[in-house]
Amino acid sequence: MEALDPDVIARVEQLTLAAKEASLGAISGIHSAKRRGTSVEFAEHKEYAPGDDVRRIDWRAYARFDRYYLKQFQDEANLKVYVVFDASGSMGYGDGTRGTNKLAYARTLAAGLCHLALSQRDAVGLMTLADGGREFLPARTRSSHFEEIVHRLVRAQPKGKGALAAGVTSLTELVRGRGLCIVISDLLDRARPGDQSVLDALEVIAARGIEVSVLHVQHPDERDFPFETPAFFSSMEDSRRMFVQPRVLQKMFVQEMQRYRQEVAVRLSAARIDHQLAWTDGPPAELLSAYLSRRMHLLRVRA
Amino acid sequence: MSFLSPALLFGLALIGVPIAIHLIGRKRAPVLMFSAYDFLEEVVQRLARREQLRQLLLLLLRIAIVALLAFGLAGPGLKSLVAPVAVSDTLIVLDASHSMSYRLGSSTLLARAKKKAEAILRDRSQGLALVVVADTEPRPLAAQPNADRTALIGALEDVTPGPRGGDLASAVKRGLELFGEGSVDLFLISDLSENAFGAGDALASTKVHAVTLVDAADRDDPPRALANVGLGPLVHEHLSDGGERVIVTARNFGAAPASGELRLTLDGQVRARAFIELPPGAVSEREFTLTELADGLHPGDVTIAAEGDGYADDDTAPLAIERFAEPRVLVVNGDPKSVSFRDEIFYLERALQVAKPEVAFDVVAADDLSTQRLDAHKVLVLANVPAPAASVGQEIADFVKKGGGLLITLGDRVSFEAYNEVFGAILPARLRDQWAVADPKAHDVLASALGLTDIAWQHPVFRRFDPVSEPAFTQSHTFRHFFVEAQDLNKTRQLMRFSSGAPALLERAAAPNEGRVLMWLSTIDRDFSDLAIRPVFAPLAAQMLRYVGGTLRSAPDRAYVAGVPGELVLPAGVSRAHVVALGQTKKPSPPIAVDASNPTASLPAPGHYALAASEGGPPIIGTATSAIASLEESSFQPVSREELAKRWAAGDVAVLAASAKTPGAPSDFRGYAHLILLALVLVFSVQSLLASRG
Repeated sequence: MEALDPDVIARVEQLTLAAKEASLGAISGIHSAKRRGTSVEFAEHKEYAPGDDVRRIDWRAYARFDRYYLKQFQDEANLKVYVVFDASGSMGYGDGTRGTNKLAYARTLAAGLCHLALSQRDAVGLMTLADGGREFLPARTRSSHFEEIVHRLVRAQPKGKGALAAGVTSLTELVRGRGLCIVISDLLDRARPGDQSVLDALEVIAARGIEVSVLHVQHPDERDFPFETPAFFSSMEDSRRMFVQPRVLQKMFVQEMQRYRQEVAVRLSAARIDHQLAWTDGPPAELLSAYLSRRMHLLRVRA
Repeated sequence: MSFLSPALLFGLALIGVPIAIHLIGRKRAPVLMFSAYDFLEEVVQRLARREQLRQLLLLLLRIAIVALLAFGLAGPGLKSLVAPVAVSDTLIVLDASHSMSYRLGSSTLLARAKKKAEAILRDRSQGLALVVVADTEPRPLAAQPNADRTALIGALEDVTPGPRGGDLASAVKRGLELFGEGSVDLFLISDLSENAFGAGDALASTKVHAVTLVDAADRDDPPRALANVGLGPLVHEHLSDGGERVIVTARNFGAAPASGELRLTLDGQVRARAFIELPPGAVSEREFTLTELADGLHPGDVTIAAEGDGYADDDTAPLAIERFAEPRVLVVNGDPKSVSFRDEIFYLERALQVAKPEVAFDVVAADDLSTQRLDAHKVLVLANVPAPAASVGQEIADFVKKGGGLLITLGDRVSFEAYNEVFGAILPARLRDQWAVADPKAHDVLASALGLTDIAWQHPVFRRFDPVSEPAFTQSHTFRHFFVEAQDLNKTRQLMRFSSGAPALLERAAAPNEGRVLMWLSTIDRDFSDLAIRPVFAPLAAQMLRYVGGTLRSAPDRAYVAGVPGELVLPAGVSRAHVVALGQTKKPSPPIAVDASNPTASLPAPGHYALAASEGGPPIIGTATSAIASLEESSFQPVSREELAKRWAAGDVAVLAASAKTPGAPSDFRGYAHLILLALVLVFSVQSLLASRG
């Protein structure tokens, strides 16, 4: 019934368009051949897509069909992309302020990446985390799978704690073989003392050989803290609230957030996890393009 | 510690305001949902102690600001630890005479004086103090000298200029009576007009330590008279050519030459202007002549606008001019003759023909009287007319009862018995027989003839005559006249007598709405008297006809001075009347009643007035008059300190000018308002700094 909701349909179409627009703007694909030159078993031909290595075009196939095809081998074809989508309460921030709502921004990024991956005939899976629970959509390669992903993304509403650390950890059981895990989150899920933090969890799965990318979604208000009027600040994930004089603590808060972003960057870098800050006051297409370019560059360096 | 205004310490209650704002402001703060709440909470927890301290400090500083404000306004101070050797009490005598309403710049002298009194009370905070207002009667602002400066300063607010001059000497005496044995410093706050100080031994008291003359006008010492030009009583005359003459007297009371414009306004329109220049102390007259005024009442005034003149009360002199239509006269000739100069009314006709304004008249023979319509005329003259039929007599009596005027002159055609019978109700007195004083043909006739005397010069008939004309009456000769019944004389008015003492001209005592009746007890031709050939006859004849015709003013054309008792002239036949205000003049309250036996009254304020027969009734025509402001307060000639010391028997008491140092022991009250102000600035700065960091 929910699928017939006009609002949902509209949002799905809007997100689909945005995803395609974002993915078309990318000059690179999500991945490239990892084992170039090795004798692996031919799997199938894949139609050329922007970002593919032109050296791997099958010129014979071109002569026959007058279209560009790339030979795909077993390892390449089986790449699985898992998008971990954080829909915790804090992702709902940003309505009516400068910058886009974080969740909406994250949806566009997630849908764009999924669309790109599916257009490269990669299998794409989606895990949404909200209100302490998670929903998992297994990885598929068929193009119709995109619609299901988009529906899941649209249905995801910001609520409660995200349980991001547990969600990421669970990927170790779900990902088999070569896989890419893209985490889209604001990483504001602070762990209680003694609990595993989301950074800890990311380090764990990276240590297990799963390639991880993190799109760290941030709203400009979390960077600048532009508030001036004394007010009660309320948590978006539970019922806590407190009276704050913003002008008193603005400087310290800004420094604290900067320190946290640096900590994230350093720890993820040390764990060889690709990390991309995503400010919601910039166009998602540009961000996606920058992310993919940088990722391709990193892959080449690592190769 | 003591305070100049302890009542203002109630302002300390306002320290609840910042506390309330602190508490209410937090409750009314908006709620914001924020994503990075955990990080915010960490920061808040780290800053919590510092922020709480800052908030507490801010609250305390804001409370301190309110408290310091209330404290500072209350005028805190400390009394000196060393007791003063001698402390003088303070007596302030505040001049509230009417001249203190003089406007100097933007405020009156009284307003300035009140500020000075307040300053003295604040400055002399030690000892007892009292303020006595010098109005027409001395008026202390407190029952006893006391130390409550705030109450005295508050009572000053209600002091207003009095209606007349004040008496500073009485006020000083009254104030000193209320003080005990201590030494008193006396402050006289006044416009220093010498007429307010009077004379006496006001300063002979041993209590007086020193006297300070405080000039409300802030002039140099010795002061000069303030600029003021005032108008004196107006003189108004009806001219013989029908015009009106108004003579205006202006006087410069100031110490400098003055000039200004005189303006005469009637019926709301400016009718005449003149420019006037006056050296200091000079008096000048200007004469205005008005013509072509319509009949009726013309209220107006004369004003002067002189540069620098701050005293407005004497700048306007109200003026009321009443004009009447000349009466139409029917003359009944009782003894016509073919030789004109022997005719009974020959001289009367000549007199009326030269009268100005002209008196219109018709002449009929006695036989034709019964055919005449009397109501077409205002005045009827019976000149030696034989007694008519009873019906005609009744008609004439009705004419008089309805307001018509009647002049009766006698002669050989008159039978006193018939007259008494026909005209008994309207005669001033019943007639008796004739008396032949002398034979006109005798050689010594002039020696034995009677002259005219005991003339009622204030009566409207004779008011126009100059006293120099008296010989013309006394030297006239009457050879024969009628007597009247002596018992009737007490109910009539004798306007003129023969030199024998017998009545010559009588006026009937008429009721207010009845016509006037005059009776000349001799002839108006030369048969019984030679008055007709005397120069006074023509104006006398015209005045008699105007008077019985009701067109002569009952009261003299003079301006009264407001507040000064003056004699009002009641119309003939009116024994009791009420003064009513005309136009916008403030109605006297309570109504002023005047009695014919004692017609003296005081008109309360400058303006136009008239008499009314009853309280609230319409004004009686011919009684309009006006009152000008008293010039009693117009002089601002100041008294000098030396002169005051002599006048008030100051003896060894020093009379100081206000510019000299305030006498008496220096105040032991050390005010700390400046320190409070400094603290306030400091606290406010710290508060602002602290708030800006928040």
